[in-house]
Amino acid sequence: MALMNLLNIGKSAIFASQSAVNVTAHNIANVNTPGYTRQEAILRIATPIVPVAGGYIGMGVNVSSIERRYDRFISGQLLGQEQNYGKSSVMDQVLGQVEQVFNDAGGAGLSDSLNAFFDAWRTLSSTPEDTAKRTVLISDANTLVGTMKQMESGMLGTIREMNGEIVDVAGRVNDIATDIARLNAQIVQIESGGGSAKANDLRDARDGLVTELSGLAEIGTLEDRNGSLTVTLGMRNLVDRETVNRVTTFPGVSGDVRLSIDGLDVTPRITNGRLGGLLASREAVESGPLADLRHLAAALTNGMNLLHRAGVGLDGTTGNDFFTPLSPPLTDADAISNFGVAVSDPRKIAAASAASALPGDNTNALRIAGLADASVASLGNATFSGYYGALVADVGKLARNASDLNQFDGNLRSELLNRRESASGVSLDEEATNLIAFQRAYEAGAKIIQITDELLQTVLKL
Amino acid sequence: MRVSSSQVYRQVTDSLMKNLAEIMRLNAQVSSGRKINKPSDDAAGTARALDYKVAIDAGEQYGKNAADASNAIGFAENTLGSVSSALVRAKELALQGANGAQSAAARTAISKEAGQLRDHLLSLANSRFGNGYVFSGFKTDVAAFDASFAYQGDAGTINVMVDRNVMIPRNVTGSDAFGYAPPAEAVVQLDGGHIAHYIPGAGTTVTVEIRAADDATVLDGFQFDNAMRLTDLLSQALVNNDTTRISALMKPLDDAMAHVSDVRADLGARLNRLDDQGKRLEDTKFAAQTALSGVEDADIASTVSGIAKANTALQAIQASSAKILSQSLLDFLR
Repeated sequence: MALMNLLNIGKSAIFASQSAVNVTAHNIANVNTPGYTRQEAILRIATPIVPVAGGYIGMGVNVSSIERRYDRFISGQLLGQEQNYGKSSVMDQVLGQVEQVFNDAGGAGLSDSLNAFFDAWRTLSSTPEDTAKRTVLISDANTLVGTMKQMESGMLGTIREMNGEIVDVAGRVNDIATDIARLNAQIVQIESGGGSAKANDLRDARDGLVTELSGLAEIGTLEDRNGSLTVTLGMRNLVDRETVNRVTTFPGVSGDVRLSIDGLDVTPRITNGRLGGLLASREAVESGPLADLRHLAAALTNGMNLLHRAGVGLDGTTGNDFFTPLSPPLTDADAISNFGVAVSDPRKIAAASAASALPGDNTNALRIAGLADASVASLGNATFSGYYGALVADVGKLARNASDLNQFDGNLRSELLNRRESASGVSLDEEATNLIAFQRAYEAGAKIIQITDELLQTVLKL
Repeated sequence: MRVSSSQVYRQVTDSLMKNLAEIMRLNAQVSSGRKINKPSDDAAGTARALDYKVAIDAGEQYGKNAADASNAIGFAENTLGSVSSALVRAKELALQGANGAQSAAARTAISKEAGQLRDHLLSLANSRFGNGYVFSGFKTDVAAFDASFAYQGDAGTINVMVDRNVMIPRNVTGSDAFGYAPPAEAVVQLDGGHIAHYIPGAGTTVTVEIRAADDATVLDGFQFDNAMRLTDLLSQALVNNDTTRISALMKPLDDAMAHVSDVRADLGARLNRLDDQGKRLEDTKFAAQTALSGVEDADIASTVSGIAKANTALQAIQASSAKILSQSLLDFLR
């Protein structure tokens, strides 16, 4: 009996070492797998059942379970940080793109067009009868209009891309939710078998999906007793055990894409993650630089037309608009799409104040050239170029803040990933050491069996 | 602290990326020569740079306007120089004509030259510069004086913007340059006991009355309102052998000459002011450019030394990474 027990102990040693080597091999194989959590074979002393004089003889070793080295606290923090990083990285990207629209550093921006436009008026004021200078003025005005339109279409293009991406991200959220629901079913099935069996790799897969989902949107998670994970988004259940409530996109009043779950508009409740970042930067662009640029175009149209209508052209006509007028029902929002040079005949440019004083009268041209330095009431008493300068500075600040925040969130995320890796990552050196340890244990276990065999032979030969 | 294998790789990658990003940022500054390459590099600096650029741009335009105005005023001043010479010559002719020793035939000959002077003055008054007539006020498309010496222009003063809210008039009207308005009635005792009264009328019109010695009986009267009419009157008086009128025309010729000198002095003063303004604009532009460069331009020396520093750090990381990455326990388990 005792010799047979010895065989069993040897066998348990071999089996345990084999399992441990298996786990080590699995760890080594996944050394570079993102989201993989290092596993460990938990060895327990087998319960001794053979009584001998003076106590029990041991029964060898058991693998009680295979555990994941998982730090719930770090993982929770990482999920939150993934959301922040998802938001700040997309805001950095979008606002950096919008910033390029306002980048005058190269010397071809609105500031130059605006200067050239008023310079053309200053030139014309010095020789109002010169039709060549009038033609130059019209061409400079067209450049100004073209620059404005290009800037608006640049921003509208960014907004269009953002709307497209919101739809794409919502689609990815649905895909992930579906996968999580499927994994929920599998994990519950495996872990409900009783005992200590853990669906380690499936949990890693689900954790990976939850991490990715956190980067996309502001989610909450709750795991129930059976191991099933409920995921909430915008106070609605996105994943409820094995069912998914899909995120649907629909166009809002302004043509912007909005999101709903279960028939409820959740757009205002999504403030973090990539989706939250997209919604926030869309709002920042629309209510910031886009609205301000349109406001500038409106002020320029109205201010120019007011003075220009009062003047007289070379052909003696008066009351002509210089820019296409922005009359109701058109509003500030239409200022750039409606923006255009209304004067096509250079002779209609109203440089003079009176028909009797043509063609050398430059008083109206002087008044319009003076508009460049005038404070404009509808622009908060700033000059046109001053208002634009402040607008560029605002865009720069927005972009700078987004970039700084992204850097900060990136560093924090990196630090948390580092800590997670420190706790859960695979170290090849450690695994190599384990490999040797278990190899030796295996060899020794085999030696026990060999020696037991020899002992048996000895007995049998008696 | 436990260190996992992927941590080592991540850290090496991260630090390489950070250093490379810093080198790229500095390199962008060197290649563009600017430390502000996009508004977020320095939001406040960007706004200030735009302000300076507006000031520089507008300043250049004001400079061009000032140069244009300078040319126009210089031309007018030159033209009035010729007018002065013509009037001096007219005065000489009047003196010759007034000389009692001259025969009627000689006066007729002198009158021809006076007529030439009159036509010369008309062509000077109708000078064109660039796009229009110089002395027509706003009505630059109309000759200042017609064939009967009537002023066709208006009183428009063409102001040129030579700085923010600073205007300098570019023109002088024909009525102002070629006519004059005496401040009060003047009386001159002529040879032969006649008395000439010069009575100012509307605008630059001057009515001349030649009275008898009693200073009451008006023997002769005529009027003029510009230099062309004046020389025309002289030419007629010479033809008519009318020495009294010739004598009576001496003072108006002097007055006209003095007035043209005044106008030329005013134009000269404007030229000086434009010259000063041009220099001031250059100074302002230089100051704005210096300020712009301070805000916008990269300090190449410090940027390059920054690159060298970052490069040293990068090489250090590369060297240490090479050592860390190549080390593994597995290498020693043989």
